Amino acid sequence: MPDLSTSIREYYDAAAEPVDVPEILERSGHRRVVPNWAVAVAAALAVFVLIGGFVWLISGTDSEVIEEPMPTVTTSVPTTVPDETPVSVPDATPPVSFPDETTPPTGPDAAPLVTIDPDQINYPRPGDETYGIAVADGFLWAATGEGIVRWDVAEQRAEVFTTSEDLPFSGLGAHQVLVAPDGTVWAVSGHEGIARFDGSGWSEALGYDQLAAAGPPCVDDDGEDDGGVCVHAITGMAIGPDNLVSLAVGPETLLQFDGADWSVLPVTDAEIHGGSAWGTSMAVAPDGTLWVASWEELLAYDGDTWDRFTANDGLPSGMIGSVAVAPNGDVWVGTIDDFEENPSGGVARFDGDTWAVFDETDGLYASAVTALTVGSDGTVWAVHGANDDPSAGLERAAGGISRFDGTTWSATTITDVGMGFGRGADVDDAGTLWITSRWGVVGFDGAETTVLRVPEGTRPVIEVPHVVVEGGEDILATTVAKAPAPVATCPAGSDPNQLGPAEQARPPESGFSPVAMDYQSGRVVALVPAAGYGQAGVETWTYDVCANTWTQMNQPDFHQTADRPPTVLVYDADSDLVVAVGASVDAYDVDTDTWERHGDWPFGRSDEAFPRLVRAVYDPVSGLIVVRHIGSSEMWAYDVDTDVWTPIRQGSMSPPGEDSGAWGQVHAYDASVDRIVLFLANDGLGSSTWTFDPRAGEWTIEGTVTPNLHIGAWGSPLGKGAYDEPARRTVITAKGVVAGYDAAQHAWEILWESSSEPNFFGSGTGPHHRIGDHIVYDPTNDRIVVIGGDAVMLDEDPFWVSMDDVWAFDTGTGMWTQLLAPPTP
Amino acid sequence: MVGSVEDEFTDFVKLYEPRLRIALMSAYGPERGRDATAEALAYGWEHWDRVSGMDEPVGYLYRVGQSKSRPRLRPRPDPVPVSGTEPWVEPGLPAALGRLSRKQRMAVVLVDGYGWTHGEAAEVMSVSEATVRTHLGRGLRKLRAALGVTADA
Repeated sequence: MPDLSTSIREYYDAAAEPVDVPEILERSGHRRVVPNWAVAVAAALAVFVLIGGFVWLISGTDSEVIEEPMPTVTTSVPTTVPDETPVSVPDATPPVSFPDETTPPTGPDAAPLVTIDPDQINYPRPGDETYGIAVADGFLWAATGEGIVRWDVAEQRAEVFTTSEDLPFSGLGAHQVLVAPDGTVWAVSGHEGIARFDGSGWSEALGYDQLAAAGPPCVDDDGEDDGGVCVHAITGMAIGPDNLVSLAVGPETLLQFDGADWSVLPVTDAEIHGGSAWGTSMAVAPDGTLWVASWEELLAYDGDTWDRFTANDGLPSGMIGSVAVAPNGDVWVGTIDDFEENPSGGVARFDGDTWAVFDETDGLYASAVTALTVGSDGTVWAVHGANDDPSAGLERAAGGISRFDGTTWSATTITDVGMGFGRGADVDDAGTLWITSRWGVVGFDGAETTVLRVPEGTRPVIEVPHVVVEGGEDILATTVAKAPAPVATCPAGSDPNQLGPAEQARPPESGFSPVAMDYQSGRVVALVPAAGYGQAGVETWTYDVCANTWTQMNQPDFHQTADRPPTVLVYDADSDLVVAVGASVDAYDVDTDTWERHGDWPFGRSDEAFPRLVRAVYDPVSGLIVVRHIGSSEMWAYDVDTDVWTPIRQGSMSPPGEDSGAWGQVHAYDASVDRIVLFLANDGLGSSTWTFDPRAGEWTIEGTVTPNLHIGAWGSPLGKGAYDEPARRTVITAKGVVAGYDAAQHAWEILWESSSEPNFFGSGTGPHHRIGDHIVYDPTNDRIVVIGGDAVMLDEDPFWVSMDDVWAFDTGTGMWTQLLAPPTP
Repeated sequence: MVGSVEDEFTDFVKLYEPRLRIALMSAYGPERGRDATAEALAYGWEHWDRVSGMDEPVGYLYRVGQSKSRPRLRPRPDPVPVSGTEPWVEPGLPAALGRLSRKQRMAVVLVDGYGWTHGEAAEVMSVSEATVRTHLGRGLRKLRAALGVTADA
C-alpha cells in the first residue's frame, strides 16, 4: 500500500487533467493586454525587420546555421510484469484468468521493455487489499483495490467483477459491499456511486447525486464554503430488513433507495455535528431504526425522530468507527480515539435504555476498535487492527480480535496474516469471522486463521515507466581524474565522538539544506537559508567532524534574493572544491573561504522549481561531476576546472523522470562496482534499484528486492544517500529506517530501524524520525553523518521542529552516536 | 534564443501550471480547482507583461483563481479518477480529505503530498509558516485517524 503522502498525490494527480495552453487561450479569448510601450517597440521592430529583409534580399541567403546537439527524450509505454509469485497461504484460491489488457509495444518504434522480477515487489500489491466485506449464502464478497471479489468458500473458487464485468465503477474506489435480505449485492464507491448485483450482472443505481447536490455545502473550520472534495462523497451504507438501502453522503445528507427511486431523509432535527465526517458506519435494527455513526456522535432515526448519543451519554468515545445491531436489537459500537498518540476507545452496548462499556480491563484485546460485527447467534466480534504495513518500514504490530459470547470477552492475537487495519468484518453462518486485510481477507474460526488472497489475475499490472534519452557523449569513459586531494585526519587529542559544545553558533536551520563533505578539510559544507524558508539569502556554514562544531563562513554572493539555496552541493575531490549546482554553478574553496561564480547549468531554465529536480554525484574516475535532472532524465557531466558541460550518453533505457511518478530518487557513486546507484521510489509501484555504468553509458535495472522507504518528495531526497566506502554500501536514510545497498551482491539490507513504538513520532535509540535530513560520508572517521531535518513533536508548537542536531551512523554496527545535541530552547 | 511571447507563456504554463492546479484543487476540489487554474492562467495570459515578471507567480495566480472561481462554483465535483488509467488510492481517502478544513487539507496536500516547503505553502495560503505547520499537524492527525493509519514512514 502506498504511504499516505503518495496516496494523496496520486489522488490529486488523477483527479483532473492538466490545463494546457490551447484551453487557456480559448478561455481568454486570445486576449492579451499589451502596454503602450510594447506597441511602440513593436512598431520600431517592424521597421527594422523591413529594412533587414531588404538587406537580406540583396545579399543572398547563405547565412550559417549552427545547431547544437541536445538530447531528446522519448517516453516509452509501460511494461507488463509477470504475476507475483504466489505466497504460501492456506486455502489460497485458484487465480481467475483475465485477458492481459496491456499489450507491449511492437515494431521498430517500440521502446525497450523493462522486466521487473516479481520478488522486487515486497509488499502486497494494491489489488490485494480489501476494504469492505459481506458474507451471505455461502459467498464471501469483498471490495478490493481491483474490483469486487466473490469467493465461493465451499468450492474454493473466486470470481472477480471489474468494469470489464459491468461493475459501473472501477474497483479502485470500492470501499463497502453489503448483501441485502433479498440477495442483491450492493457496492459503493466514495466518489463513483453505488452499484447493485442482481445475480446476473451489475447495474448502477443512478440519481443519488442529484439529490445529494441539494444538500448542504461543506463548511470548513473558518466557516467558509468548503466546496471541494467533500461534497457528495458516499461515506456509509446500510440495508434494512425491508431491503431499503440507506446512504450517508457528505455532508449531512441521508438518502434512501427503494429499488426504484431515491428519497431524502430529513436530518434537520438530527443535530448532526459530524459535518462531512458522518456515516463512518451504519446499521439498521430489526425494528427499522437506522443507526448512523460519525467521528462525533451516534445518531438513531426511527423514521420520525432523531436520537443523539455522545461520550456524554456514556459512550467510551465520540469517535465511532463501527456500529452493528444484534439479533435481539442491542446496538453495539466500536470506538477508536487518539489512535496516533495513545490509542483508546472501547466497545459499548445499548440495550435501548443504557450504555454498557467494555475495554481492555474487561478482556478486550485492546480498547481501540477498528471494526465490529455481530453474528447471527449474537456473538460480538471486535477487531483491533494492526500496523503491519511493510511499506512503512517500521516494526510490525500484531493485531487482535475480541469475542463476546454474551457473558465474557476473550481475546486472540492475530499475526502473520496481513491483517492491516481490519476496517471491515462479517460473520458467516458457521460462525467464522472474516475481516479485511492487506493481503485479501482473513478468516478466523475461533482457533485458526485462513487467508484468501485476491486472485492473481486481477492484480494491477506493475508498470515501470522509463525513458529513452538519445544523444550524449562518452565523456565519463574518456576523461581521467587528477590525483584527489588527501583526506583530512583529526588533530591529535581530538575526539570525534565527543559531543559538540551545546552552546555554539549554529546554522539557522540545517535541515533541507544541501550539504557536501569536503574530504580535504574534514568539514561538511552546508548552504542554509539565512532566515528560514521563504526568506532571502543563504549562508555558508561548515561542520568540523573532528571537533563537532559549526562555523559560519563567508556568505556567498549568489541567490541573495532567492528563497532557497541551490539544489545540491557536491565535493569535487580532484579539484578540492565544493560545487553548488543550481540554476547557476558556483564553486567554494573551504581553505580560502571563497566562492567563485561559474557559468549557468545546461538545463535551460533558471526558475525556482527546476533546481530542486537535480541530483549530482562526483565520479572519481573521470573527475567530473555527474548531474542528472530527474524531470527530464537528462544527464550531464560538469568539469569544474574548465566550466564545461557535456551531455552523457545513457544507452537505450533510462530511469523515469518525476513526471512518471518517480519522485523519490537518490543517487550515489559506488566505487566498489564503479556504478552510480539510484534508489527510485516509484509512486504506487514500489521501489526499484537502478545502476548506471559511467564508462559504458548504460543504465541497468537491478533484479533485487528494494525496500520501500519513505524518502519524501521534492525536498528531502536531495541529500538522503551517501556511499560508505569501507562498508561498500550505498546508505539511504528514511523516516525511522537506514538501508544499505551492496551493489556487488545486488542486495539491500535494513541497517537500522527505529525501536520506538510503531508510529513515526517515537525517538527510539537513534535520531528522532524526521524528514529533510541530509547525510554525507565522513572519510575522516569512516562513518555516515546525518545532519538536521524536521521532526514531529506532538507536545511542541509548532508541530514540526527543526532538529538542528548531528548524528553519526556506523554502517557496520548499525549504531548511532550523537555528535551534536539539538540546541536548548 | 529569445522565443516568442507565446513560447514564453507555454514555458510558463509548463512550469507553473502543475503547482497552481494542485494548490487550487487542494482548496476547492478537483473540478472547481482545475477550473480556477484555467481561469487564473487565462488571466495570466491576458496580463502577461505583468505576470511574466513576477518572482512568485503561483501565489499571485492562486489568488486570481480564488476570486475567478467563486462565481463558477458548481455543486458536484467530477468523479475521480477515470477508469483504467487511475493510480490506486485508498478508497476512504477522498472522503477523509474532505473532512479536513480547507487550510488543513491544503497543508496536508501541498506539504505532505507534494513536498512543498512550509514557506511555499504559506505563501499560497497567505498564512505564516507556523500556521502551516499547525494545520499540517492537525490535518495529518485527523487524516490518519480517519484512515486508521498510524505511520507514514
